[in-house]
This record gives sequence, C-alpha cells and structure tokens, in this order.
Amino acid sequence: MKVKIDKHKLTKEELIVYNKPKKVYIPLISGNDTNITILVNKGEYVYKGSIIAKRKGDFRIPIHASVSGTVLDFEERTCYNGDKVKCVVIENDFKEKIENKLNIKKIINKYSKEEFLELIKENGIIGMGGAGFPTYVKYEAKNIDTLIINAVECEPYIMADYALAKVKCEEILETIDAILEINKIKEAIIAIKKENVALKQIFDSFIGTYLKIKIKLVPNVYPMGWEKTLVKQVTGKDYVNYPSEIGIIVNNVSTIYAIYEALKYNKPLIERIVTFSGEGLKNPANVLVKIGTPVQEVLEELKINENSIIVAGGPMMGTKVDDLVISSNLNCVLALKENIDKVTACIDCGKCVSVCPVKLSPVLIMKLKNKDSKKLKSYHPEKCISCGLCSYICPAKLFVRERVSEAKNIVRGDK
Amino acid sequence: MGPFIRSKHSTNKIMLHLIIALLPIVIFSIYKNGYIPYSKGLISFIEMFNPLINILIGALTSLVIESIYALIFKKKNYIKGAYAFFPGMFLALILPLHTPIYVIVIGSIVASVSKLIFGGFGKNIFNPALVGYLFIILIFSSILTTDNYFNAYELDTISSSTPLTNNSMVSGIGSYEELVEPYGDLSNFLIGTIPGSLAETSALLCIISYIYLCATRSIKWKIPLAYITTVFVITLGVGRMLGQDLYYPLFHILSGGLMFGAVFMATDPVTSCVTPIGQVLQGILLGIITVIFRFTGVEGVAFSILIVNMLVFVLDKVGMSARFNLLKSIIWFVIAWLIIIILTIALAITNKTDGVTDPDFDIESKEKIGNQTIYNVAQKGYGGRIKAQVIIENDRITGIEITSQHETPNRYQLVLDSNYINQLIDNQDNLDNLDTVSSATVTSTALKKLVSNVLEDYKPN
Repeated sequence: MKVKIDKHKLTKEELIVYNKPKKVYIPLISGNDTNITILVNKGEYVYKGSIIAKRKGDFRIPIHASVSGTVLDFEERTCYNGDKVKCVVIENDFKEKIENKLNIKKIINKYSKEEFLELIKENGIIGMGGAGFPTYVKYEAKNIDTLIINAVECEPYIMADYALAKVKCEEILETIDAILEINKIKEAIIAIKKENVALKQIFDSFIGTYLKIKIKLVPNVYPMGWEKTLVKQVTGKDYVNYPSEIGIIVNNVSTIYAIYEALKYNKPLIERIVTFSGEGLKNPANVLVKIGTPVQEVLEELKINENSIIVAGGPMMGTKVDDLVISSNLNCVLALKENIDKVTACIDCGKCVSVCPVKLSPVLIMKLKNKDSKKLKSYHPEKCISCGLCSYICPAKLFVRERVSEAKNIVRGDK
Repeated sequence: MGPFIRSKHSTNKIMLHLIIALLPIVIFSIYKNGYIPYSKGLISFIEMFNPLINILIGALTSLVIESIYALIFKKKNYIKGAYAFFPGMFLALILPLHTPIYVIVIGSIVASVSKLIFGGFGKNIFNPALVGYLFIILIFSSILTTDNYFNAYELDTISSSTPLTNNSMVSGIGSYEELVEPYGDLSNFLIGTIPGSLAETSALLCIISYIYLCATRSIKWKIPLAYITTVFVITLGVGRMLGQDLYYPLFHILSGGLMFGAVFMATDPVTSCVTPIGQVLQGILLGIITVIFRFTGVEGVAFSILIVNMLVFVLDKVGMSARFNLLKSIIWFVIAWLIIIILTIALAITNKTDGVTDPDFDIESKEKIGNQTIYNVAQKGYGGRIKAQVIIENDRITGIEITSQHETPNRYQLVLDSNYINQLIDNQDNLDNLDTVSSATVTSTALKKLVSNVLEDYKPN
C-alpha cells in the first residue's frame, strides 16, 4: 500500500536569512559519528571557514567554523537526532572574516576528478538530506553512470530544497553538468514529486541547454525520498547497501548547491537552508542559517507560540527536542502542538504491515513476547528505516515504530 | 515520540464503518422476516421487529457481561474501547429468526466470556460470536432446525429446508431441481428472499457491504476475496466433473452463511491474519475447509472460521517470511493445498452416490447421543410435509413421533387408529411386505417411505 500524506505546507515560499547568532555551537558530529578530533583551543580566534575539527577514522571530513570570532568553550548541546553532542562555542564578532585561500579556478567544470574530490572533501560536504554521509566517498566509487538528484522532500512541511532550487536553479543545473563532466557520468535525473509542478517548471525553463539532465516526476507517496524507494522508482533497480553497487549516486539539492559553492568559491559547508514550520509558528519560513545557530533564536524571530513542542527534522522521522543547534544535515525544525491522540488496544488490523516500505511486519514484532535476539532475527527488525509509517497509519495510535526500534536495537546489539 | 502527525484512521472509525455496513443487512432482515409476514397478516405489528429485538438482546447481553468484567477487575476505561456489544450482536445475526431469547442470551454470554478468557478486546484467538454459535449447536441443537429458520410467510410458501440443509441432504451434490428450484431461482439467493438466519440470506447486500468496507479501508479485503474465490473454483470444478452447470458454484457462494461469514466473520481483525500473504492463505484455507464440510453434509462456514482462527499465528509466520522470500515460504503450502483440493474433489465425487435420493424426503437434523440417533425428518405426504422425529437405538428404530402434518384429518385418523406407526416399527426389517392402510394410502405410503428413507440414511446399502 502506498501512503499519501497530506502536505501540511505552511511555509511561505520566500527565503529569509538569519545571520545574527551571537554565539554558534558547532556540533562535533559527522553523520552519526561523534569520534572527532578538536583542532582549536579555548580563547583561540577563528575565521569563518577555518577548520576547527576533523573526523577520525576512515572518512576524515573536516568541520568548519561558521562565523569569525573567539572560541569560548566546549559545551554539550542537543543535535538533530536528539542526542547531546559536544559543540565548539564560538562568539560571533560579526566581521565575517575569512582566511586567505589559494586561488582557485572559477570555471567549475574544469577540475580534474582528483581536484574535485579534494575540494568537496576539504570543504566538508556531506549529504544534507538526513544521513550526513560524506559526499566525496560516493564519488570515489567506480563505474557510476547515473546521478540522481533527490528533490523529493517527501515528508510533509519540508521545503528547504524547494526554496533553494527556486532561487539557485541555474547554479544547480550548472553544477550537475560539471559533476557529470568531471566524473564522466552519462546522465543525471532530477526527481521531483508530482505535486511539486512549480519546481519542475522552474527547472524546465533552464534545462534546455543541458542535454544530459532529465527531470522525472515521482508519485506523491511517502517515503519516496528514501534512497532505495527513489532509486527503484526512477531506475526500476534494487540494491543491497549502497546505490553505487548499481552505478548510481544520489545527492539531494542542498548537497549539489554546497558542491557548487565548494567548486566556485572554495566555500566550506557552513550554512544551509532549513524549513521552520508547524502550527506553533506565526511566521513559518525557509531560513538560511549558519551551522551551529541555536534554533531557539530563530523560532523566537518567527514568533513561536507558547506550549509548542520543538521537533528536529520532519514530522514523520523527526525527534522531539528541548533545545537544538543547526547541523549540516538538519533540513527542518517544527514547532507543533503536542499530539494528544488517545492510545487504544491493537486490533490487528494489519495496516502497519501493508504500509511498511521494507516489508517488515511491525505488529508481529510488537506483539512478540520474550523479545530475545534469536527469536527476533527471523522478523528482521534491523531492516527498519524508522520512516514512521507504521505509527502514522495505526488506528489505535500506538507507538509502533518505537517498539520496532527496540527490537532493532536488541538484534543489532547481538551482532 | 514521533511521528508528530497521524493518519485519520482510528479504531472507532473502523468499528463505525462496520456498523454502517451492517445496517442495510439488518434493515433487509426486518423487511424480509418482519414486514413481509406482517403485510400478509401472518404476524402482529410487534412481531415485525423480532429480528431487531434478537440483535439488541444479543448486543445488550454482551455489553452487560463485559461491563461486569470491567467492574470486577477494576478496569476503569476498558469498556470504552472494548466494543463489547459486537459478539452478541454478530451471534444474533447468524442465528435463526425463531431462536428463543434465552438461547440468544446464553450464547451471547458464552461469546463474550470466550473473548474475556483471553484477556479481553484485542487478545482473543477465536471469533467470539462463532464460539457462542458453536456452543448453541452443541447444547441446543434443536434450535437450528429448519422450522426456526423460516419466517411465517416462508412456512406458508416454501415446502423444503433451508438451502444448505437441502444441500447436505444430497451430500454436497444436488441437481438444480433439488438445490435451487424450491426457492425460485438464483436471483432469490442473490437478493436474499430465501430462508436462512437473520443476516445471512442476502448475498448482494453482503457484497455491497464488502465494497463499502473496502472503500473505507476498514476491512482485510484479501480474506473474503480469497475465501469466496476458492469455494467458487473448487465447486466449479466439482460441478463440471459431475456434469452440473454454472448454477452449481453460484449456488455454493450465494447460499448458506458463506458471504456473510467471509465478509464479516472471517475478517474480524483480532482473529485474522495481519500479513497480506497470510490473509490470502487464510482465505484459501477457509475455502477448502468450508467445501470439505459442505461435501460431507454440514454447513461449515462457522466451523471453518473457528478452525482457521487457531492457525492464524502460523499463517502469519509464513506471511511474514513470504514478504522477504515469497516463493520459498509458500511453496509447501501451495503443494499441500493443491493435494487437499484434489482430495476434496475426490470426496465430492465419491459421495455423489451416497445418501438418500428421494426428493420428497428431507433430513432436518440428525443427532447422535451414545447408541441413540435422533432424526428429525420430513416426507411429502398428501397435504404437504409430514414431519417426524425418529429415534434409532442400537441400530433399530424404537420410536416414531409425528411432529407436524397437514393430512386430511379423517384419513390421518384412520392411520392412527390402525396402529400403523407401531406396525412400521415392528416391521422395519421387512417394510416391503407391510400393507398400507386402505382409504389412507397416500399418507401411509408416505410414512412407510419416511421410515425406509431414515433407515437408508442410517445404514446405507
């Protein structure tokens, strides 16, 4: 069963800029990894764009300062996944000073592949749609023949990519074209939801000169923006772990624009567009914010109602948080009324089974007594992508996903 | 905890849709069993609402039982979300019109208790209404005889048993004349103007309800579809092999409790499969078991559903792994069920020649208690059907009691005066040589046939 979720779009389409944070809290997290080396000391002056930390391990992605100013402290703040994460606190001197950088080529398709990889790695480009996977790793894969641009934003409310694409359409197409040329990829497909006709029209007016770039409309169902669903919809192909297995790279629109800025200006990923929306906001908007900005400031600027709860991420997959700092993979912040649906007994209607995009049987996992990992294994809870559809559809308003997540943790803990 | 938006589905809405889907069926039942006999002057105005009264009594009994349960176990909010009236309501719907009130009450109590034993709403394994039904069959078997299924108007106009008792008479295989003709044609089966329990007669209304429930997404739609399709396919095959027309599978899917059972009872969410493949397997299994029951002479919808209730867990296990690897998970089921279907067809064909073939004879019920077998039978006499209870003890008829007859009074008196019934018992091994009563030949011949038919059924050959 394909699930269409009401749009819930409150955000006015214009883009506003919020660049007034007195302090920024740069979260020391990359993807889900908090194993990060700090490269600055308390009291040190940093420039906007300076490298302040670097991820350890295989993917040595740097983390940059998003303002110029003095490093005050290291503090724990809540990050996109609801966890407390150590942050570098920088006092903003509002001078926006940048370090002198090497001269770089301004014609973005004239880079070699090595230069391209180096640039997007050193500028800290990661997937900005949610998972925060380092982008350069995707482009290191061999035999890639298709680049899919994920402009789906299948969760309700979210329209950060849409707002960006509207104003930066030419740059985005130019970047896609450059990426194809540099990486010798045959074609690019921009996937847009059917209901987002306006976005298609914007691309349509420029796309004529880019013969290798196509637009494909995809159904308005959730979770169409999930990589596996999208790849299957666009190409008809399945893969096991990563789309590169079948010669495909998926980037979202914000990531493509971040690549553009890296190639054109050698600019690191230090700001992004975030949708601020929900019934709890008087003036919902898409906001260009610096990484590390405390969201409370932005929410107050947009006039948040009292008694609203704050959600990091979209309404389906997001997490309820008390405070929150912007990270590069956070695309949405919601202020919502608390959900007061009454929970009733499960009647085994089977709706959670029929909607699950990874073919789990959530109700059976939920009702399993003595959840030991041996028993659970045949139920494959580890496949859960936390899309939340099972909870969404549940007529008894049960927290089905949470039960599946618990089972997932049991099975994962055993491995 | 997320998600922070929820769909518009709710348990309340699902239950509401279910009631809306039942409404036309209830209204039709009042029309058929109440208004028509009333308009012919056969029953009083109050009696017109008997179907509704049955349903309300069932519903109320169940509600009371679960309220008591909630009070005893101090479950304050239990009753609000328990939809406690459903078991008794459904039970009344599948019982005959003339079920005594106390039987409905007892059945509803059993139904609700069977739900509460497992821990109440959402936890029961067996369909509560059908547990109540099974209990009534076992304890009050006399309630489910033909007469109780007939409303006053049908008693006057139809001289045969309800369609599936009729079917069982011929061990699953009958001709068009035997199965359909007593009730007009198949369109009466579709519309529902045939005798039967309150809610089961109108296949058309069940189909409309099914469509409504599908449109409102309040039903596991795969189960009825798989169920009815299976019954249709098997009976079509059997019918073809025995040279019957298309009417035969149509008779099977339109008669008895199949449509109502498939749409409303087999899909009871709590006691049915949750996985899509599980639901399809469940429907097919239900179809196979129902057909087996019917070929052995019993209307088996209720039994099939109860039997499959026990297997739901297993079917869901298969359904779950089938989501990851379809073929590997269900291949054995497919093979096993193909074998069962072939055996079922074989059963039907070998049963064809068995049983009593006299079209003027009906077995309304047959009950075995120890070495005693009690038959309730009917034989066409001079003035309609002669109904009798025949008791067989240690393989011999020990008693015959005429329960109803419409013979010419003075001729019938002649039969009684000549002690013919005792003669029949005395000469049961040698009926051919027993003379009929002169001046009452038709009546006495019918009685003789009645006895010989009972004996033939009891000891074929």
